[in-house]
Amino acid sequence: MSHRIIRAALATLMLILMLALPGLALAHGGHTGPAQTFTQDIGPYEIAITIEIPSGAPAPLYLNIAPQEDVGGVTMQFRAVPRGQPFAGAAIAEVQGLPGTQGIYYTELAIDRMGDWELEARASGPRGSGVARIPFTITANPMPAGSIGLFVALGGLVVAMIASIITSLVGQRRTKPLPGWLRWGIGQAMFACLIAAAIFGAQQFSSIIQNAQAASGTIPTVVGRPHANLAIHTNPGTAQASQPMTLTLNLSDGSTGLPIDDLITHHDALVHLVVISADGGFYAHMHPPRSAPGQFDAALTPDRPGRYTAYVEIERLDSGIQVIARDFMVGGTTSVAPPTFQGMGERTVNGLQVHLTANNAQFKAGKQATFTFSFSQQGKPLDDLQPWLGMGGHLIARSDDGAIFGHIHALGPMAPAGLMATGTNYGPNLQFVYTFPQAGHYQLWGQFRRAEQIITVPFAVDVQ
Amino acid sequence: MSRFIACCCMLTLIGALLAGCGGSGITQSAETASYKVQLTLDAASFGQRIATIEVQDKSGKSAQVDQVVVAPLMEAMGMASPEQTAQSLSTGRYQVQGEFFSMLGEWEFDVKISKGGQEEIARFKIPVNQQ
Repeated sequence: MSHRIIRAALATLMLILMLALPGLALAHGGHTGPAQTFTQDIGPYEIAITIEIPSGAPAPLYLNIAPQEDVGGVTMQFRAVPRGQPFAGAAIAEVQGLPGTQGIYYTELAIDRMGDWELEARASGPRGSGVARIPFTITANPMPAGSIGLFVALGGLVVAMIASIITSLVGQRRTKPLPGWLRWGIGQAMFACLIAAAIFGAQQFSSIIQNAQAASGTIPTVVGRPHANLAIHTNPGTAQASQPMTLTLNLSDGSTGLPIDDLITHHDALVHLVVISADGGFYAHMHPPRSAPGQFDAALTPDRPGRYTAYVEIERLDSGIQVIARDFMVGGTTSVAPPTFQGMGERTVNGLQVHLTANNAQFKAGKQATFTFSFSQQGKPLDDLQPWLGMGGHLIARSDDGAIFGHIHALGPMAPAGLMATGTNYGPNLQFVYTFPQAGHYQLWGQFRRAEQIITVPFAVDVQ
Repeated sequence: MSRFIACCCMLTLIGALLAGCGGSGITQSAETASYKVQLTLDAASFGQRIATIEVQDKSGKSAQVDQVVVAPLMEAMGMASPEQTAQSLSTGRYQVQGEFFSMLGEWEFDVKISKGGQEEIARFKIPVNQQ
């Protein structure tokens, strides 16, 4: 009778344990974690810095530095201080850039406490210099309730099972049976481990359900944050065509007016800045470095006079992505010819053949359009396109009147961050799916990365 | 007794491992104003997938419609996959093959049913947790 009760209890516990162990639920889209990648233009150099954020302090802060272009002869320096403290006197880690194909450079800094920190990254080389100040936060990351107990119980279970198998084998070969207390002890130990595993597993299970409920909105945990306002300033005040200028972005909270310093990375950058001239002939997709709370400075050289629009794409903590557009004027004269945008078909960009096709001969507002870029070189399809900003490609779409701004990503999985991205390649075909919301003429720019170079493919379509 | 416990434990661990590696098909049902729609996917993962759609009227009879189009969308990432038209297998039964999912996470899988110029959309939520 007692054996039956134990067997029934065991069967029930097994069922609980199997339900309690989580399956493989790998959701994408998180914005915090042990590693965060920040891509920005440090002076003329675009550099992606992956910060491996420790789970406690004091601890080393590992930095993986992935230049997005050739940084031969460039000196990169890094130092970190608790946010609000001066950088003077902080320990410096230095990395020397090598010419040619870029890999990942490594360095580390010492972190002595948890809380809000700021990483200063400086790059200085033949083409100029720049600085970025990157905010990050170190928080304690405790294991979920029951994790340690569950691991110990499962470990004990495995050990007891091995012991049981060994005693069985030994018992079969011996003429004299093993003492009964030994088998009894092993059985009891397994039983105890099983109960403990079931209890701790159930705790895990309930926390998983709570997290899932929170994620699905059943339990409201996030209420969002106010909108952002953007003020822009040019230096010099009246920018001139063909002259270098600095475009300063000042982001402030829509409710308090205070500088916004709660931006989180989306697609590996705090700010995606797209600057386009009115005729579409000048196009720049940049990642300006943060110079102070809420302030980002972009260095650019407009090539023609006239009106320019700066589209600033950001994501605040606990909020969605928002795009803010502001115009600025550039004076002077130019000898640059008005742009001519090709439609579908073949073209040569950066020495590569790019064949662009669409699923429709005519585009209609409200109807889905699929664009396919096919890359080849001397007739050979290319499958060595590199991830840029975590994706295989980006497509920017803008209506002629500037009212519609689309940022579309190539179909395909995101590339892992930092070191894990090494070896991730895309091509030869990359697809983008977009539904033009209204009729009109649209300019589009497909952007890809290969051999440490950004390939930009402009084209235009008429949407009916 | 100890042998029984050992077997139980072994089965438990095997079961737990299998539970973590599960990747079987998905069947979901939804209703529109005029139809009951059942979607069956061979797997919720990357690669070529087969979606089978069964369309019935409200009385439960198989419904022949003009067109069935599937439109996968990952709202969280702003990622849409190309829409595809399903082929009719028999009355009320349609099938389409394609690469519907390209990112991990929850996808919205819209089934657009057209008849006589009227379109109704059955919306499904597909958790994609395997590449």
